[in-house]
Amino acid sequence: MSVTYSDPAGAAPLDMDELRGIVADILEVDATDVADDADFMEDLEVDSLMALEVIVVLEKKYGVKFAEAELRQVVSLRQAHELLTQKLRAR
Amino acid sequence: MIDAAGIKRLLPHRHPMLLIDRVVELVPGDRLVALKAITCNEPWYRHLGEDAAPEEFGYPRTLLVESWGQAAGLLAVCGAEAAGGPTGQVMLAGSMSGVEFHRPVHPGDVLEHRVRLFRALTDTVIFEGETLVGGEVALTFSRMVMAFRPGDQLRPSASADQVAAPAVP
Repeated sequence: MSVTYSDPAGAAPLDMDELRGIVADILEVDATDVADDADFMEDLEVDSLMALEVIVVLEKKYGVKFAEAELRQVVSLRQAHELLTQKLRAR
Repeated sequence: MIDAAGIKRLLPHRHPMLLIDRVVELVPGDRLVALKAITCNEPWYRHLGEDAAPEEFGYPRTLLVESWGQAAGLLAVCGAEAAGGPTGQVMLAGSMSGVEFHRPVHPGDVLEHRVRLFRALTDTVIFEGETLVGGEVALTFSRMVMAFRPGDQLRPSASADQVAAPAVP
C-alpha cells in the first residue's frame, strides 16, 4: 500500500519503509516482520520499555518531541508514522 | 563533586555492590561523569587462587554494566531532584541496547563513566554514554532504559496467597 500526504511545507513525506528499517533496527528484528499494523508488544514480543525506546529514538532521529501521552499510545509502525508525519508537518 | 558519603545518600546500593566512588562532573538533567576504582579487594576476586592467570583478573562485565548503571541512577536522582521527578522510587534497569565491551578492565584501572540523558519521562529515564579507562573507551551504551516504580509495587503483598511479581509492568 502507498501512503501519500500533501505537504505544504515542502519537506519530503516520511517514507514508511525507511521508518520500518529504523524500527526493525532498534528492535533487532527483520524489517519484513515489522508489518504496518503489527503491534510492537502483541505481535513482535517487545516489552513496554522497549516500545518506549523505539519512540524516543525516532524523536531524536527526526528532531521532534512527542507529549508523553502521545508517545505511550504508539504501539505500531503505522501509528508511529502517523504521529511523526503530524509532528513534522507542524514544525 | 559528590564524594562516597554523598553517593550513599543518593543511591540505595551498599558495599560491596555500591560500584561508584565519586562523581566528578554533574549537570542535573543533562550529564554526569563518575569514577570507580577497581581493586583486588573486591569480593569477585576472592575465589582466585595463587596461580590465577592474568586474564582471570578481568573485571566481571556484568558489574561494569551495573557500575555504569549506578552512575546513570545518580544522574536520574539528581535530575529528578531538580525537576521534581521520580524521587523516593525504586530504580530498575529496564533494558539496554547496543552495549559493547571494547577492552578488559583490571585491578588498578579507574573507570570513568560518562552518562548523558537521552530522554526523561515521568517514570522512565533513558540514558546513553560510555566508560573510559585511561582515556580509552572500554564500554559503550547506545541506550539504557531505567524504570522508576513505587517500592510497594515491588514487595510481596501483605496477603499470604498473593505475591506481587517483581516485574516491570
